Amino acid sequence: MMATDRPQSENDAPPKRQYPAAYERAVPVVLALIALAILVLLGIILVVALGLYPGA
Amino acid sequence: MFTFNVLLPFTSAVVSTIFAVLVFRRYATHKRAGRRAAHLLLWGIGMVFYAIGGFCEGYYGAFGWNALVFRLWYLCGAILVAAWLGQGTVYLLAKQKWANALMIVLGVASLYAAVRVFAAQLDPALMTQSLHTGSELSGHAIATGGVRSLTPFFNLYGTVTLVGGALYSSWIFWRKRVLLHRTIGNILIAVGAMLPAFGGTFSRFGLPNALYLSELLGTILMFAGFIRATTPMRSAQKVPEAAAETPTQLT
Repeated sequence: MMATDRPQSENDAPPKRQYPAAYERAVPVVLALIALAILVLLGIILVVALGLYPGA
Repeated sequence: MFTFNVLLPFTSAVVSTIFAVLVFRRYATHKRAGRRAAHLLLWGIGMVFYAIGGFCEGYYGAFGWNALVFRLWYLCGAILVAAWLGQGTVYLLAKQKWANALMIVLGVASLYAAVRVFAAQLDPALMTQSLHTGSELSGHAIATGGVRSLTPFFNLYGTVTLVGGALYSSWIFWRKRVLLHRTIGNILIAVGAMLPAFGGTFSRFGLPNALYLSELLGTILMFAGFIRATTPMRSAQKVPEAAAETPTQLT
């Protein structure tokens, strides 16, 4: 009987890369907060540019 | 008050100068090795503007009003610094022809801003308008119309390119789970670049020392981010790092 199944190791996907656990949790949160802060900052700049509030 | 209005900005100027020297040294090394280096040159120039702004603030705190010092502060610190730092990031992330085109635009705009600032009429008494105490430098001293309206455009460009660019780079490295030190470094740079802008906003609402403190923290964080991004970490990720394939490398 011919072997139809390959050894299990050849079918394994390569291990998924990961950062250390603390960074896995913290990085996406921090990136999201920075993105939000950018939007706030752009809003402030636009308000100043439109003359709705005096700038520097 | 004297301590804050003198020590904080002078310290900011010293940190920015040291940062600029290191960046220029890295630029020289890259040039000698035939590597891309324009981004480092522009970051170095941007940090020189940052240092000039801090020095001018400290000078005002220590010695009082000086028209030349004010003009240098407003041009370098309020208008140019974010945009030129951001232009460095453009050279790092974008195709060279686009970066060159934007550099020409930025160069012409900067020259125009310089002419307007140095030709503007000034009135230091106007710095005590609204919630300002006059203890910190403020663009209110510019009496000529249309000059202060230049600032938001430069700051808009700087925010999108510098902070957005650092955020994008950090996200790319995180998504691929490679080069953790560059993920962290770019996060520090993004946060550091935003701090002076928020500090300026709080300052406009009358919060004392917000601007100078945020500028000092901002340059420290950006400096730390630069060092972090250019220094691989010793601790390993769960899988050994693969070679970075993305061009979004902070070098």
